[in-house]
Amino acid sequence: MNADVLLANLPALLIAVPLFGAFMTPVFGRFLPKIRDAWVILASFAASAVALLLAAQVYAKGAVVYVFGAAPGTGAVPVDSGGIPIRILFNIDGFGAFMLVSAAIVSFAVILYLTVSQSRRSSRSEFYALYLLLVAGVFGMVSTGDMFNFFVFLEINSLAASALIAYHRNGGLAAEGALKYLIVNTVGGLMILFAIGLLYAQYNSLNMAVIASSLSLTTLNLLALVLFIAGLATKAGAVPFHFATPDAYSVAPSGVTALMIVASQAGLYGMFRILFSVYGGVFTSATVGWIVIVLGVLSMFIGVTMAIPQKDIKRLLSYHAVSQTGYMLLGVGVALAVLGDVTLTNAFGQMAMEGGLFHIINHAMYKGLLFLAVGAVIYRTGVWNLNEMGGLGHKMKWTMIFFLIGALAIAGIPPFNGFASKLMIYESTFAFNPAIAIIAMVVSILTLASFMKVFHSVFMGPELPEYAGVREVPKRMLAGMAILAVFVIAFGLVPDLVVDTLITPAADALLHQGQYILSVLGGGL
Amino acid sequence: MARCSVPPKLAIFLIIAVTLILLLPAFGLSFGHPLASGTDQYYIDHSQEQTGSNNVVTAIVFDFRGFDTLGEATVLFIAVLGVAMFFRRTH
Amino acid sequence: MVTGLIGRTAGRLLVPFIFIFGFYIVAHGHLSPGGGFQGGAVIATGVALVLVCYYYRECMEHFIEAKNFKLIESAGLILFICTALAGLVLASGFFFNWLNASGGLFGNAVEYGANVGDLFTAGIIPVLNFAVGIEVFGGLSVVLLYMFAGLKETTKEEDDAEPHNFAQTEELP
Repeated sequence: MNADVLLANLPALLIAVPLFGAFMTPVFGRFLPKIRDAWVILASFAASAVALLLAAQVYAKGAVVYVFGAAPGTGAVPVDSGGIPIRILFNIDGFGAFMLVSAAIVSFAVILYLTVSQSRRSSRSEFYALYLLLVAGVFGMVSTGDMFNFFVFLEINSLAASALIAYHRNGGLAAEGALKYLIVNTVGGLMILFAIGLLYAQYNSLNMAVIASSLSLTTLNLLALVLFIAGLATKAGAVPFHFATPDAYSVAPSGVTALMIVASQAGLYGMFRILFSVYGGVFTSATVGWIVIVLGVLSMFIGVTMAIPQKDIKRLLSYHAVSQTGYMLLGVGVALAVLGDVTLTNAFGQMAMEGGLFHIINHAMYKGLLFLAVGAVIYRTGVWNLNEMGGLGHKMKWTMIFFLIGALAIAGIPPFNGFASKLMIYESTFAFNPAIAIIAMVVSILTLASFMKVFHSVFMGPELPEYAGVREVPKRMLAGMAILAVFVIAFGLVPDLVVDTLITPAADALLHQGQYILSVLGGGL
Repeated sequence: MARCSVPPKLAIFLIIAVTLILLLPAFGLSFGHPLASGTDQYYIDHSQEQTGSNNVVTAIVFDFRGFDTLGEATVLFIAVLGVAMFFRRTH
Repeated sequence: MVTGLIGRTAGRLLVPFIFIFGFYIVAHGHLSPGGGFQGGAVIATGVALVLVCYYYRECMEHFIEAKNFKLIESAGLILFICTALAGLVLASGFFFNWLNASGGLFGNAVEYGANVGDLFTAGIIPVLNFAVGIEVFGGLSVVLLYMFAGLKETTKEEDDAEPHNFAQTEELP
């Protein structure tokens, strides 16, 4: 077994490596507990390495199509099947590779953080196993080309995340948040399953490319589309489906919340995949695009107005996460609204799509950094109420710097990455409809105001006597935060390079539905 | 403990109404005479020679779509891990 | 919790039959309806019967503990994914049915159409059935054991000291 075999089967390893790591973790936890932490970090590193290698392969050579269980030498379409793929296949194009890059970086940074911050708790083998399974679920959700496989990975995602939320168990609060998250996500998943069933009954195939090539806009398909948008908006935490998000994010361990941001963005991936690659060519008017834009504007506005009066610091950050999801929906919604019109797409539709997609990875980086920094503060002080904190900047200098980087990035201040993606969204939506762009800018100003308040109350001010014994957090936690901070700064300093390498292939992959169908049905091997 | 703000009769009416709205277009599908059946026919014709099992359902579950079975076994594992983690005793 | 002498004896008699029946369902997954998930659930009912018939503390002395079943569950899943990865190692592809019609362990060929049904056919499908059966058995037993651990139990001495008056019942109002 040499390197060629491994490189040819990278999509299989993408799921097999974190799954194998997760299955072995309880065994290590029982028999060899000293090396369990090292095994978990090694498994997460291997999984992220496979994801980054696969993304590099996709960027170099185009979409990768991998069939599970096919005889060696046959492609996606067997010769005697009449032109339809029979087995499950992974179809990783530019957009999937982009989401893999984001998930790989965040998951590795967070496991470095979690192995230290949860080191004083019990039953950690199960916790780490669930973490690796959540990583596997996110990787699978963004790579698959099969509808029911997408649903299975969505189930893995929701269930692992809700089990992880309930880890701290602090007097029943975490259990309530986990239960709400579980119920809301299960209902969303069932809506998606119903829609998949409707599509399968009509076209007798579960493959996304086959459904895309034979789809037309009948009443049943419109109903399926509505169910898909509702179910996936529930997963992504958009308004008005956001009710589980603040409760769940605020009671979970901080590293877990940073990874759940990525997991909820996998729900956004699903929505864009359904809207552009499966239903792409059949839209005759801009109605669906306007629906997505309205969801985006509502999320932005309601998220930030609910965040301003919060006292619980993690709840405040969760409402800001809802608000930033609105920016992504806004950018991609504008692109969807002008999808049929080539001149408008070239004028500002492509830039809107690129802005929305760039915001996905930026949000994962800076929101992850913010949650990790806040988690570090809670780890040392034990309080999460803003009224009781103060003057921590004297002792926790590195944490303060990381929080400042994250806060400036989320507010859209140059030279951090939030500015680049927000600028693209502002320009394109202003050309589309000036009122929406003005709402987006007002929301950004309110975000800046909210974070100035948080920064001042946590880190500034005189040193309080009850926090006299507080020291800086251990080095491994700082290393995890540093990885994310490096990307926040780097993406802000060279945004053009990032857009050309990562974002434009993703936007092209979404906008050109024919390419997606061709890579599977045109004999992709 | 919050009190439910919707009266029970209205809640039941809404549930039945939403169920009917979702089910009614589904009756437009033709049961028993599907519009397209290429994939199903392929499974019935070729499962014995390609997988070697007499049971077509098992062949689909474990061979043609075996990857989904791995996913479902993982979901069961997650559920059991969640229960074990949640009911742990911290001695 | 404990049942009377009749319950315990009947349980002791029934448990091997339950295990064999569940094993039969798992093993014949590719010939008759059944398979890993269904058979594993049947085997787990055997463990449920043992838990109902005997004291929880007594079970713990005889191997029926949550941590042993967690190991069984992990072993089932590791067998599943190693079988799938073996297809990768043998240069075929992940999840390829590499034992089918190969003359190896489960590798007899199947004649087309309705036939009697040979147990040693269908390649990796029986192996995967066993793996899933072991996993479901282990998983459901773990859940049962964790639920039982929360029950408040009387001890054997308390039960023996108190006389059971099955003949006398109170008058209902």
